[in-house]
Amino acid sequence: MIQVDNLSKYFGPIMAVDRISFKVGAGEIVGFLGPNGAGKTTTMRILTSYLPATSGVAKVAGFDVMLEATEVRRNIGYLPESVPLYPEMRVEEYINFRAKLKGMERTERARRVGYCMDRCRLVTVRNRLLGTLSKGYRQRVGLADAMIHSPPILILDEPTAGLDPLQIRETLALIKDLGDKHTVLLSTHILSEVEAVCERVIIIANGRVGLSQRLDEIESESVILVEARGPSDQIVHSLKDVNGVASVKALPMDDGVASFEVRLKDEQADVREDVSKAIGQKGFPIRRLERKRRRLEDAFFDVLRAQDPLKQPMPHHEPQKSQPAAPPSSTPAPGSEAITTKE
Amino acid sequence: MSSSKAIKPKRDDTPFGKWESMPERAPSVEREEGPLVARILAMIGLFLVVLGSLAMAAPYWQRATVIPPAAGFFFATLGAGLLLFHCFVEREFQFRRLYGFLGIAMLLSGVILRLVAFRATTENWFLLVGLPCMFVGLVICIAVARNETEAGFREIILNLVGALGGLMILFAMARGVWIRDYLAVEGVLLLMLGLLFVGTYIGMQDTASDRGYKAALGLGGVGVLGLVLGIVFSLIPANSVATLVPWENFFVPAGLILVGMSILFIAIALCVCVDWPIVVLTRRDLAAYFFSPVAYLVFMGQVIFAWGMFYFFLQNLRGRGGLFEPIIINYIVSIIPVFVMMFFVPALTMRLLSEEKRSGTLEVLLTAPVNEISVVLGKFIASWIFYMLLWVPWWCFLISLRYYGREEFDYRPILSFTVAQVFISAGFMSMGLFCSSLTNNQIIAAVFTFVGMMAHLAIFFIGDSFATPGSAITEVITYVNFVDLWIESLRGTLAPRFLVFHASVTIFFLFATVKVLEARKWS
Repeated sequence: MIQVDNLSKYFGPIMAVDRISFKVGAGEIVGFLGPNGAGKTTTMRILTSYLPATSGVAKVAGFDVMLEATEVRRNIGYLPESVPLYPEMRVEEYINFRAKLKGMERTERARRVGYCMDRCRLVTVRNRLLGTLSKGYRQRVGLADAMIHSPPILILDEPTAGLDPLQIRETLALIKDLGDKHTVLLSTHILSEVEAVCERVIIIANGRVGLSQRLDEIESESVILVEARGPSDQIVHSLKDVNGVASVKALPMDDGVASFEVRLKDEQADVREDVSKAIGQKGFPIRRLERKRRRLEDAFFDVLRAQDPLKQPMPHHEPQKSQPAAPPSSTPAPGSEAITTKE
Repeated sequence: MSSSKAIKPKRDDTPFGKWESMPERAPSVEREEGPLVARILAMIGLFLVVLGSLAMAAPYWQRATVIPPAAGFFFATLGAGLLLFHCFVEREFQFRRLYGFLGIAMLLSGVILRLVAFRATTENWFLLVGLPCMFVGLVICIAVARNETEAGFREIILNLVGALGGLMILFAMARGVWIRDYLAVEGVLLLMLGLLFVGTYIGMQDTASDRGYKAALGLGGVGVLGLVLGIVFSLIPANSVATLVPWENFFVPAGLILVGMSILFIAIALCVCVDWPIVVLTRRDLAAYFFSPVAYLVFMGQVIFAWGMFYFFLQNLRGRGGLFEPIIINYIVSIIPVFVMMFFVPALTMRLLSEEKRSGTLEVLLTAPVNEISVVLGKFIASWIFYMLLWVPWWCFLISLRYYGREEFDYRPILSFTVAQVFISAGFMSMGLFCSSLTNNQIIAAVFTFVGMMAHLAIFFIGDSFATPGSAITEVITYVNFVDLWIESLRGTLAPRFLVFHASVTIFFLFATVKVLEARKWS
């Protein structure tokens, strides 16, 4: 439904989006992630044909965003980041106005406006002035506007920003529901939301696509964490000999205990027993042996680190950050506790 | 394998899979506001109405009063205003019903006064009492219907309003083609009031119901009928088909009013029924004017100004002891209306695009399936219509001249002046729109527009003072300045070649505005 090829956007000398390419298939709910200023909103604006790309091609519902802008606009529902609204209009009046603008039939319109107001929980504020609404209600009005003409593609820029916890749940449930019939591309900063509703994530940083993967694929990737007492290089050596190990990353020593992150060739394979055997044979006592599922958060920080030109040559300078179990900025997401099975 | 199962949770296990909605609650509790202030004002208002009415009625009973009748009228109007305010605010059942029945009574008394007006002795009653009575009744009915919680009573009021509106329009049209001079005085007022009634009926309908749509279709149908009648009667000479055409020279003023009002009806019907993007956008922008204080200030300024000009005009008439054709040149021509226009044009156009840019709504607008051309045209047409509406108070004062003067005057300069205004204002409005598209600051847009207006005026003054008669510069300046066109059209002469400049200015600025909007796409 959405196809982006080598899309670049420069604002004068400033590069906002740098040759990104990705695809979104029909019926997918795709989370569009990235730090502030990564180019998310710019990409979305290009996809909605509001801004032109400097180079590259973007097609939405099979129409080129540059050349067939009207067709593209007919096929999308767009919720912009700050949800600009006309302050002097009333909620129902505004949604009606948007429905008319989007060319809906008169008879269908009344029914659909009622339905969308109900779904976005706007019925109690239907006669209020838009200028007097709080952030959360503005957000809902924007969402109702985006879905009013039942477009095949929904592009939502931070749909849950400014909502209360209950409303976040309602909105996410709604988006998940919409995902049955619509293709949804949504951007957000809250990773747990993405984990809750999205099937796939596209992470961009510094204007480049860092990762485009199905969520269950990300989460099926795993590493084995090993902590053993002994000389680091020797343990690395023996770990590398274990069958199925792709790479071993040594983490800094702590109190004579060396820790390692072992990546596997086959993510599904469980080689903990082999690892234990290999290190045990050398006579190094094992303190920790743990298989850890990779979470979206880890993938996100990996992308950030990979895209960061300053940090890239010296990955060990910030050792805490490279431990997937201890992400720097946020408290652990619910359910992120490591799976420790001692078989 | 239990471990791999733990590693791959099913996507449906996420917390939102089985989320059950909670009932929706309003974000804030609405407290019933006690209408105490409104009730006190209503008491004062009632007192003023009674006082004013007594003062006005006193001369009929041959009594002398402290308050002269004119002041009585002023008091009564003020009091009625206060009562209307209370009527809009009060939600209590008894008051609501009281006002409801008062509104219905006023509407029906208007009808009775109209029936009474068929007798020669009481001819004036409807025009002087019945029409204002119906207008106030309509306002009361709107207020009551807004506050009414009972569907049945609301229905009765709205249906009465709608039916009366239809009757008024049909009656005015039928009588207008039957009796000479009817349309020029009472007919046009009745048509306007009928339009207000029908407009209220359409506007107050539920969005889900079909009746507003059908009423608008009916209005359009009546408009088409009026248009056809007006054109046919104006074109066919009276002698050839004596039985068909009521009298000679139907076109001025009856045909003109009929055609004009019919076009208005059709336009309004189209506005309600058609959902083309341009129409939808025009409607929104026109409505937006009435949601901001600027429109009311400009309108009030215009009414007061027109009243002042009319007053001086009457003084002038009295001084000279009669009418000199074309009379409206004495009414409107003066440099003051031109200067007033200098301020009105920026005030009306400064907001149009700059505000959309500032608040970001332009992004929402241009990601809906509309193109830049419809956005620009919608805004342009809305401001244009609003500008032309500003001239309505001027013409309303002329109706009173026709009524009290009891003498025909030449209506054709009004037509030529209106046409000239249509072209001149189109040029100015498009210039203002262009300035508004350049910036996201209203004030800067207004200043740009004002400078542009000054440039237009400067052309006139340059031509007036520096150019020698007959030279090429003079020739050019006659074509491009708007003040000469203004004055000429008030004299009743209108040469299409002088309109060309303004038409091309309009097209140029509209084109430029579309390009400015598209320019965000050029990187």
